[in-house]
Amino acid sequence: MRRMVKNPDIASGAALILFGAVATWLSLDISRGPDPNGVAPNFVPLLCSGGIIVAGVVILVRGVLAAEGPLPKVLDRGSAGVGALIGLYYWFFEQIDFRLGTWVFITGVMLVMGCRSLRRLALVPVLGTAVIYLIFRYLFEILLPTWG
Amino acid sequence: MDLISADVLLRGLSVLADPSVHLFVFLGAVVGLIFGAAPGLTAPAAIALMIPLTYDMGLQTSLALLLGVYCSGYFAGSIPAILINTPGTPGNAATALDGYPMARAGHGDRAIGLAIVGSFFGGLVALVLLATISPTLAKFALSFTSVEYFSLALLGIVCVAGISQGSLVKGLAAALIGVLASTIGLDPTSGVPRMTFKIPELLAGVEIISALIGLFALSEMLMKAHRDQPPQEVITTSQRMSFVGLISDFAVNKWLTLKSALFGTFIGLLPGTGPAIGSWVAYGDAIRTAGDGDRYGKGEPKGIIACETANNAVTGGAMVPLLTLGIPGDPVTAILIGALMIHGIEPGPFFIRDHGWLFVAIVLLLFLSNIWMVVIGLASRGVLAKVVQVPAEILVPLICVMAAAGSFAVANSAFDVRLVFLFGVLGYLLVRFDFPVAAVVLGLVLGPILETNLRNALIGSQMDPTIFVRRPISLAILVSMVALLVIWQRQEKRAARRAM
Repeated sequence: MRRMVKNPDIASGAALILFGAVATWLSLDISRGPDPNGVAPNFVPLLCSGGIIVAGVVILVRGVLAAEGPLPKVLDRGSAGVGALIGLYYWFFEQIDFRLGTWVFITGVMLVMGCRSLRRLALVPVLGTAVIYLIFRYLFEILLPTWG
Repeated sequence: MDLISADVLLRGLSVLADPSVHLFVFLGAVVGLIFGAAPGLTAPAAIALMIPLTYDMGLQTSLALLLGVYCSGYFAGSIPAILINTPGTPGNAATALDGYPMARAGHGDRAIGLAIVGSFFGGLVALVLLATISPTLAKFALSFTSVEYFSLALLGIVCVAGISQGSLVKGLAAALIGVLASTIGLDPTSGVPRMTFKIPELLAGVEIISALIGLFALSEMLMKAHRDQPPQEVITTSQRMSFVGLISDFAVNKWLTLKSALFGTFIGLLPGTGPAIGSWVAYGDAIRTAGDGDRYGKGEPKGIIACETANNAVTGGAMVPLLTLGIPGDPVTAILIGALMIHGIEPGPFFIRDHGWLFVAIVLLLFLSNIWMVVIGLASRGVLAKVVQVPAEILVPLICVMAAAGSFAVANSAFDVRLVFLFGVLGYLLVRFDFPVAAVVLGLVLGPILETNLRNALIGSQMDPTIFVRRPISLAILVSMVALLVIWQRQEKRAARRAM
């Protein structure tokens, strides 16, 4: 894959064209609404998706004509690990007790990001969870998900 | 008839009698200084994270908090620029050119002092212009129709796409993605659902606060988690500056300070611009008028004065199009629109007429924010220099938790938290491929203004699109937009040719 794409603009241009095509398809699927003479509800979405496709084509052509360049590394161990933990934490935010979920999340992210100091691993998750929970709960009076 | 009567002025001034306002301006200034100073965190991220917390607060106190963050956040981005050569925001990039060499030469504390006081002067000059220009501009804007508003919103989007770092086409594509996302939900005219995927939470549209937190805060955290971040050498500020020396620096460079403040303010007035362009223009002018002994790029104090005065002057200037036209002047004011709307206040030409007291209050709160910025900044500059050293392994998880809890707090909705994640991933991918995230945000905020006014203008003219070039003000706006596009395109081509 990396060899096929000689310039990052080819990848981003192609992604934009694909995104624009999907958006166009979704926009065409929007119903016309009760007023047949007014501006259709899908008018602006279609303008935008068309514009995105045109921009994608311009970027793709530029990439093809440009010199070879390194493709940016989208994921590495750090960003993939942290991204996965964020995904899990955010997706199940309401189902898990904030205090437990946050403690596990902070510890996990610190480990993935290379923290090996036992003192930090013991203190930061506990203090971070407690301070954020207390600020939201008592200063801003916002109820965060808890069990029981 | 004056837009601001004596009664309205007095009601605006009464804001100062509320002790909680002072407390929240102070808190905002502290939060802004911490976020600005921590590398990888920015003022827009701080404001995006703070907005959910203001839902249950009064209008005055929430604005006090947010404006405090706004002013201080922009200044504090100069601290990592000076100490680790990593600008806290794009607006502080030019500061690093002279600030970092000064820090290397042992004058880091003086450089930070220059940045604080320069930011203060910039903020004050911009405030004077905000207070004087806005009522006049608002009166003029009362004659605008949907046609002019559509053209102005389009100009705002094109401006932010054009001045964003990287390619113009990428900026425009990012802005279109933002406008497209703003159309998700029930169509305001016909009530037809658009791209909702049968998800009930999407019928009301994309929750703008969740999108902002994802695009600004979460994407930055994912970038920080990436392991290809270069190691940073932190320079300490052991050599303390003298206050007498600081005053004499500004006395000697008073005209440069005033000129930079005016540059920043007028650039802030243009919809869609921001502190980055303000500071580069002021820095460029300072170099153009440099004397024989000036050593720009090698630790020249005038470089810091020019950049920091200009980039904070943008804050006041950017409030003018927001409060008079409803068009944000920069990404942060785009976020502030959301904060005002939470309290049922719509910025635009009727804002000063209908909420004159609030306009006076905003001017006063910005003034207070500038005062606190300089007081806390000077008193705690040693501590702020330490914030630069907070490791990413601590910052990243804590900011992610605040982002999740903040977005959940908006409507007690787990869906909003998931939306933050999706926008965070989108923002991360855009940054990795050199697309400007600020353009997406402007697209999201300006999208509804653009669509509503486009439809109203077309319906009002029996679907005749030439209406946009038949009205003189709209024509003038569209002509300047095309001229800007041509100029930026030529500049881009010239830069590409030089790079080859």
